[in-house]
Amino acid sequence: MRSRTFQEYVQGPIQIGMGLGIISLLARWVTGTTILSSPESMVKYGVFGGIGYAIMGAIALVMFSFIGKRVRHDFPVGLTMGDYLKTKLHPFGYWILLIILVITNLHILFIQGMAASTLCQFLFDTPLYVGLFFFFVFCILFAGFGGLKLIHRFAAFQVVFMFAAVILIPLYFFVKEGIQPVYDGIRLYHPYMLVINKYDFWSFIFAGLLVGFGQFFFDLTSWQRLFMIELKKVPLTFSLSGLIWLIFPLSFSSLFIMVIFTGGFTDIHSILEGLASKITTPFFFILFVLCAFSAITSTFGACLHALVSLIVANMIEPFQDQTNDQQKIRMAYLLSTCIGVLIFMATLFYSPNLMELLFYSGNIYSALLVPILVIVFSKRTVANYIPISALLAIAASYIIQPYASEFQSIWFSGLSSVTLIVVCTIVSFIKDKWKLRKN
Amino acid sequence: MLSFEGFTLIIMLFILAPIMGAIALLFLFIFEKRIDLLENKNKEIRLEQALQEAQYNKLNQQIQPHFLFNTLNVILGLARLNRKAELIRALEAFSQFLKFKYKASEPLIPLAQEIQYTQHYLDIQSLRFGDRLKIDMYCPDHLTIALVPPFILQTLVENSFKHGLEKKVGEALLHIRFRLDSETVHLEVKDNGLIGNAATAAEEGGHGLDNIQKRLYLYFSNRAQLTIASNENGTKVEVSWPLVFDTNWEEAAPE
Repeated sequence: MRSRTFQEYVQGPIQIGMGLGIISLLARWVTGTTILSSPESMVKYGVFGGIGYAIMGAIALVMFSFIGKRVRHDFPVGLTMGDYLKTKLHPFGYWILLIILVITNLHILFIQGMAASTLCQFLFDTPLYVGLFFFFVFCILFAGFGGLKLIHRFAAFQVVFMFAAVILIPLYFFVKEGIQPVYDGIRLYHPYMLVINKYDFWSFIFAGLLVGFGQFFFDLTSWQRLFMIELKKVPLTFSLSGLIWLIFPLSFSSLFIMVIFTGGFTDIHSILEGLASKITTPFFFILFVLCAFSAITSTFGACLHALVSLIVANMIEPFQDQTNDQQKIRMAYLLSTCIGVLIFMATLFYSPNLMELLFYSGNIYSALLVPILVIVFSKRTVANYIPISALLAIAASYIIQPYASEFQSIWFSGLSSVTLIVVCTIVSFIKDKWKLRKN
Repeated sequence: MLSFEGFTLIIMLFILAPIMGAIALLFLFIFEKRIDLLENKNKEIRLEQALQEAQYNKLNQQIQPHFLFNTLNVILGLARLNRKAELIRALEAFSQFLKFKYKASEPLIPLAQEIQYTQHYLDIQSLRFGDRLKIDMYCPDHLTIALVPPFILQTLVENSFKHGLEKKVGEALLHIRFRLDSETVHLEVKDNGLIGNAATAAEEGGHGLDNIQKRLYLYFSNRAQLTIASNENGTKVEVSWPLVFDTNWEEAAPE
């Protein structure tokens, strides 16, 4: 299973088609947080909140197909997102974005680690570190050491488990219970979920679009997949992935409806426990566990592999004059082990609320959305103020975060990066004109 | 507040969407390779067509220097014989002929155009032969808009002169007949030239006839035919190809 070249380690032996491309993207984007965030948004913003969450994600992936088309048109051959950014940015801006990319990807890995920790706590009576240890060892071996070939081999099974769970479990429940009792139960215990025009629904949708677009457009794994899919199939693969991805949050939401219709709940974790008590049939319980495990491992594996590839190809290689492929692959093995150990420790000793973590990263993605669009759609190398504006916007949004609501800080972050870019563009335009006139 | 019906619809969507998604993905997996294969096949066919077209155009180009060389010889002959008036008329006809020739770059041209083109050649030959040459050409009006690969008639007529009529003492007869028979256009070129047997004619006129045959095959495959028969009375060449009309020409044609 050892890759012969570093390119094979990063991109696999051949260019992939639409089917495998969609599977690969689903394996990345159906995450541990998809299982929890969609029901969370449904609980907070009503049934349409859950649907809105799913649609936002789907739209973001469909939109990424336009970006992907443009990127492959300008830069047909590349390994990582870093390769593309190098062609469009000056060194200073390039390094700023590389560092942000590494931090956001570590954050994603940490979130998946937290989701794995929740799953381990929920499933096993053994100490948390035992379950987590096996989870991390598995992920490092199949993704860090196996390379893309093994990731795709596992992805096929992982997606099959996820599909089996989202098709069979809700179907089984609703056939067993019927829709009328569920509706009556929701109306009795959670009538707020059936309210269509919740006052903060639209705030949620707009903030979600900002964060969702930023997250999808600035994702290392998606960019890496972009370079390995056959050129003519890129737009359709991403669009179809978006449409197919839509069904997962919807289906997970329906699962959670099944849990809460018989009574109240304290938090999202209590819903998870409620689900375990509801799924009495061993087959469905195992299927649900496999689905959750597949969602978390596939995302963790894909992100770990993408991060390691970026670090080796774009951060280490420029400083080493003569590195052959085998040395690079060994470096990738070492890095994946190090990153795995780092995330394992962080998950074990630091346990913030999962939802807090998600909103914590919202500011970053919202600030990155417009800069990444400017980078992709500008014809020339973009000035350093574009990545700097993202950095300043992120900093500013975290400063005002204690004084504003979650949504407000997300909007502020997005708006400040746009404002900074517009102001800097006008200033540089005036400067250029002035120089021309002087000459 | 969401009604029960609305809630039912949403739950139906939640249940059916994953099934549809799975079917879509399965469909992609099963048919993606086949679709790719069909696309590649289509590409291959288009490439093959382009190659054939290139070959066809190459053959079209080949026939032109062949004719030009012979016509220049005719004109040279007139000059040597000091037949100044005929030489001028020949050059006029030749200039008309060239004017047409450089315009004809289409793979198929209307029969009327081909006849007109050959007529310029015949004008040149009439100058040489004078009253000795009798030409009998007939083409039904409705066939004038039928399409034909360029230089077919002209090559056959040229071969008649080159291998038959040139050596003929006395009256030189040339019959050209077009007819339509069950959606196939038949062209018959008959001369009373002196030629021993068909094999020699085919060999000697090899280059021109071979070219015609190749071009007809490229365009109409086995549906086009060329036969040649010779006896002491002369040579008869028959060519047939499927009737093809160009709609633009059809509309432009007089009633």
